[in-house]
Amino acid sequence: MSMALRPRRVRRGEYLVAAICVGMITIMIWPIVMSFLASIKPPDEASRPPPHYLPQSLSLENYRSILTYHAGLAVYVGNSLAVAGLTIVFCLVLSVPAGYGLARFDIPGKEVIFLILLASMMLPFQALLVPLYLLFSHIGLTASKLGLAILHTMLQLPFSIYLMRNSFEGIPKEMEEAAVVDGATSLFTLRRIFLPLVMPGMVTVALFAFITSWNEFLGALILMNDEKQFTVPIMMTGVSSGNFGSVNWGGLQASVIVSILPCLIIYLLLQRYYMTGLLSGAVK
Amino acid sequence: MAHVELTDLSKTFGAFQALQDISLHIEKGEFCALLGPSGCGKSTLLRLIAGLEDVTSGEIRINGRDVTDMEPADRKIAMVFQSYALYPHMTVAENIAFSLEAAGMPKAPRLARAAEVAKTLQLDHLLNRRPALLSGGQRQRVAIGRALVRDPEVFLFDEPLSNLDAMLRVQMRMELSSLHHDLAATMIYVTHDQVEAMTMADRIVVMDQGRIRQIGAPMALYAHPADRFVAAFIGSPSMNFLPGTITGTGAQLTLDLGRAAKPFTLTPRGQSAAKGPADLGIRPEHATLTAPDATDATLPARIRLVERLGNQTLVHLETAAGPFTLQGPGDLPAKPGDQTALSFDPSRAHVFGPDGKAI
Ligand SMILES: Nc1ncnc2c1ncn2[C@@H]1O[C@H](COP(=O)(O)OP(=O)(O)O)[C@@H](O)[C@H]1O
Ligand SMILES: [Mg+2]
Repeated sequence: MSMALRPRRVRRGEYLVAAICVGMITIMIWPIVMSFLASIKPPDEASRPPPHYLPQSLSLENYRSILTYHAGLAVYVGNSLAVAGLTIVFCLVLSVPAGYGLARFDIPGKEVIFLILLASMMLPFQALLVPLYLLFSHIGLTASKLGLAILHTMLQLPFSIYLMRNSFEGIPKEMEEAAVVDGATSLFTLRRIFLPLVMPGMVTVALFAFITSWNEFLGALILMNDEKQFTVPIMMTGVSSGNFGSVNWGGLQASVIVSILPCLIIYLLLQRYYMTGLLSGAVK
Repeated sequence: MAHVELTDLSKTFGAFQALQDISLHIEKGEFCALLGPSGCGKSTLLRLIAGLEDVTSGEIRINGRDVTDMEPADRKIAMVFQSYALYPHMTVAENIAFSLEAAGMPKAPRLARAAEVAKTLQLDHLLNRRPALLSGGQRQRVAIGRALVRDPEVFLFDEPLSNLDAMLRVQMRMELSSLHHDLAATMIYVTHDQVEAMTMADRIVVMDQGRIRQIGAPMALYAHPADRFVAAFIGSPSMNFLPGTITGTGAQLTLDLGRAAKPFTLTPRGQSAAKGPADLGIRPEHATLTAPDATDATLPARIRLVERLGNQTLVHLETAAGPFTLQGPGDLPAKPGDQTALSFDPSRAHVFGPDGKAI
């Protein structure tokens, strides 16, 4: 108590930690700032050598140009959002029951199943693309948002299941037993006890599913062969290739900024669900 | 007919025998404590009664019904867990009303019922709080409220006070006792703390290594422990054991405590005795200090340490038969280094044979 009342002396170690943090944040923010500054230059200034850090004159021309690029920015953003939304739904629908089962039931050989699940993360996804493409084209899932969402779900599922298993395992066994003694059916317990308590885990799964799907390029490029179905990352490569092999830097940077925005918004919106200590007060 | 009847219960986990041949009858309205050291199977026994574990063999009856293979919810029991197991995302009212919600009772009546229960536990001002904002004692009360609201046949408690500090524990002990008095409900209470068992229980079941060692009223266990284990476990400070040899049997038992001591005679009350090695058991409060040359001096001793607790004094002594702890009045004249002698009251002395059984 008395310790907390005394004015706190900042020690040299804390300055060091702060300096390291500031350094790391700077390194990460730097490219985004540069992108942003380039995106608000007029298109020819953005591509003119030698580049200047600060824009000499301001213009929204780059944003205007990507707005009307081919089918229009709105179509590509809409495609990306639809695919990401489906990916989130698939990931949650599959990983929540899987995590529940792996954490809470005595399934014979479940550790082996779990290891195989995790091992699939080690396979480079590029190696799977050709067989997957053939498979998807057999069952008519190429050039469809549903197909791409399934592909993104495959990418994200092992991590999602791992995360949900951990979330379910974090819930004390006695809490479930208390519910059993109190006469709750397993479905009622899942809905009323487990799901609210694993909400932070579900939010994390959704967030990572969104980011993976939103940014994924190679799978989308190969599966989506109709221009109207392109997602934002594919649109970006289209935007960046200017006339006669030059690079349209301004347009590219504008689309980078546009593509960062949804991730940022979603992160800020969901952040409050990361509340720590949701379980505190349950036991002890 | 007993309210809770356990017949030949056994429980194994793989190859490990956690409980063996447990038979126990608990009467309606009885407060029964399961007492034993950590790991002796108390919680397992309680979980068998609750239905949270399947029995390996044997039978459980509650109020005459065979509940051995019944779901926990159908057994009309309520359980208070050691960790309380409150639902952290629900308010106190929702926690208490949870079993009613699970049973499909509409919101208004179930919250009214929860408020009623909360009132008896002095929780009414906390109904809308989350568990994280409650003190340890309040959480404990919510856990009890969750059991009360179901109006069960039998209450099961698994070390409910072990997470509380000493002061609160004493207070909750009294509250649980008066709750038991008011409800006249059957309660089975697991604890490793003999003080809790002694103060609250009508009857104590002493367990060790998956078996029942002795069943009896608290004072009966204190006065007549069936074996050395029970004798050592009940009472604080613990009983002293002095190794000796039985040299005379019959109506009077004569015990030789070694060359330095005078032979000690007492009336046997347990099984018949044979000559040979045996331990004399003396509770710290049943020995007195006397002059080494006094007629009632049995065992010469030297005082090693004196602990004054105000209302009582603990004297730690060394004797030819080993260390001895004596409990006397607060103003007992004694100081470290003193040569003295111990005097024992034969009517309150215990003798344990080589198998540990009381003689
Ligand atoms: N689910 C289980 N699987 C294996 N062993 C168990 C299990 N539950 C309890 N045990 C063992 O059974 C013994 C008794 O446990 P428990 O009833 O919890 O003891 P107590 O409550 O008396 O401290 C312990 O040795 C414990 O390790
Ligand atoms: Mg226990």
